[in-house]
Amino acid sequence: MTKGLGGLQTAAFGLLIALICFFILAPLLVVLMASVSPTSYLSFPPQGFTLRWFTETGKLVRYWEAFKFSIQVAFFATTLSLVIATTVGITIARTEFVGKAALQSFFLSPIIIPELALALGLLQYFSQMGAFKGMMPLVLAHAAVCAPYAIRTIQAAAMKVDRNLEDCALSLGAKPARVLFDVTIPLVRPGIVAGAIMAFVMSFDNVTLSIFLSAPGSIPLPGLLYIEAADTGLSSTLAAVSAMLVVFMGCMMLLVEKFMGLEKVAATSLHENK
Amino acid sequence: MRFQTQAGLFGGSNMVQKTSSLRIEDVSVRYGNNRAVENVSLTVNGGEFVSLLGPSGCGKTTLLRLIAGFLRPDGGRILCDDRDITTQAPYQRRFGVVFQNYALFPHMTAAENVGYGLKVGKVQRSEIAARVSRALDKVGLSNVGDRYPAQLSGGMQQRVALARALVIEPAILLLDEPLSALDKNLREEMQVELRLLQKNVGVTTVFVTHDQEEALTLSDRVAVMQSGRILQIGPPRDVYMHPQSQFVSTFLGTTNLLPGKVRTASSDRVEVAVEGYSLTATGQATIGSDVTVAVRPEYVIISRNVAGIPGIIQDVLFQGHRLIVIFVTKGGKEVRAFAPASFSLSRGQEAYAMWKPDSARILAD
Repeated sequence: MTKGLGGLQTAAFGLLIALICFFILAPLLVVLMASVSPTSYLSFPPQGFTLRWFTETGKLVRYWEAFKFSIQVAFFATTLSLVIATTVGITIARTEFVGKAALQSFFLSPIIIPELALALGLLQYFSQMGAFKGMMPLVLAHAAVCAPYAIRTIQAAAMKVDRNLEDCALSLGAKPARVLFDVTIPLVRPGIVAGAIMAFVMSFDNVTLSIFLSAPGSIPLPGLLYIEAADTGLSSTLAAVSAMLVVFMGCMMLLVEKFMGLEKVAATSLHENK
Repeated sequence: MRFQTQAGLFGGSNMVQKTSSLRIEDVSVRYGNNRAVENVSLTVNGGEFVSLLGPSGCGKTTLLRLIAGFLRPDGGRILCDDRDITTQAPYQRRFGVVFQNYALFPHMTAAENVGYGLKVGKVQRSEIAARVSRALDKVGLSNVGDRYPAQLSGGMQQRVALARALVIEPAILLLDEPLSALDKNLREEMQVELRLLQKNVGVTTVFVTHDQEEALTLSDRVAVMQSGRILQIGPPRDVYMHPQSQFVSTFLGTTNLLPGKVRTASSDRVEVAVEGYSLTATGQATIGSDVTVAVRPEYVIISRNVAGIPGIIQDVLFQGHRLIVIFVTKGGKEVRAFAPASFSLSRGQEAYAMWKPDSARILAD
């Protein structure tokens, strides 16, 4: 009796999971399938099969340029995020001080503040500073948005490091800075790697800040795609670029999985609250 | 599994290591209103092995962390070889510490762990290699130097931790319950080896434990702690045989505590009435006062001869090498006694409990 009910429950639960997975994956499937449709406008279900749009996209230099630009921005934003996040994450995990909770909230605030507000504010700020050129504004803005995620993963990893290890290194004659580099940081590395990947993906994926803060002539790929879609409607070229992005991100995730297990990354980071 | 027994075995030279003394003067630590260590003074002589023994929360680990320099005292001084080190950082003191969980660096091999203190001490690479391999050899682990801690058994990790602490030739060796994670057989074996090693290296050692047997086995002197204070300190035999308080008496081994009334008292001998039956004990008390008599089970004699306190044998537990006799007096007090396994005593028998004149003590509290 209970066994039968258990079986039924399992089946219902399985169905629910399948539905959720489908719900998450459906848009990706639509894009992937539309990208091979012979029609020049986005159509689903596909009207046939062609790889024409992919070869076409390859010829369009602006996508390639935007992709390279995105990678560069993501790289610098990630690096900057990691420097900030490693310092802040380890400090918060390791020391007790007055106002620690406030500081923690402050460093997490870019997650809470709407990106639009952040983008407008930064735009104003950079314009008035006269610093609105190149990729600098974008890198700084992305770092501000990405760092909180990295702080979380690094802080979580640092909390797990046994303090006796650091004490022990001190007692063996290592000065605090040496302990940090010999013991703490190597042991926090999974958190740093997870934070780096989160930051990179967040930056690479970001549309809002990219549109607002791109200097003329250089815009990251997601921004470019959005602008083109808004200008000329959904084309199969866009679908092809998107499909390539899906594959690219998929590869990134495989890389993460290979190095440390995706669940760990997900478990140590905050959920995106968009 | 034998530690080698020659002096200077962890050092860079073959010279006998100079031993350092440690003096703690009136040291206190407070956490808010909570006093973790209160006005503790303690002197550890060069080469001596002193245990800090007490239940969890008694301040023994806090005291050890003070000595290592992980904590600063709120008051008092700590001296090493008569030099004030109270404000020195742990990396200036360089006292070797072995932690309860060994605290081996998980991302370093056993050899890298052992060599870490030398590496940060700017010892030459070739010398590090030689000293590390010698140290690993001495703890019987010469063939596992390239393994990571996770690949080593608990006992092996413990040895690596010990080698790592000793290879830097610390002035003082600090051990924080290093044996408590090992299983019973290994623990007993390690007790003996640790004692041998400490004596051969000659390093002044402070050992924290809650295990009274361990403290008695290993130490030159035992300091029994409670509520942030040292209640009594002395050689194991003294502390065990002559506890000065009820706490020490019950914490160190099993003790029977019986209420009694003092009948006569001479210089250090008291005749005391327990449930109206006269017995003798050592200690000082005034005639007519109510006292507590403490007597260890190994000194209690339960027999059918009419002498001592009458009662009934409630149970007899066979332990192989001895019997534990649980005796209940007419007045309802439980008295435990150890008896040779050959004794024929059985449950429900009427019997009498007594003890040798010098084996019971009058306790202050």
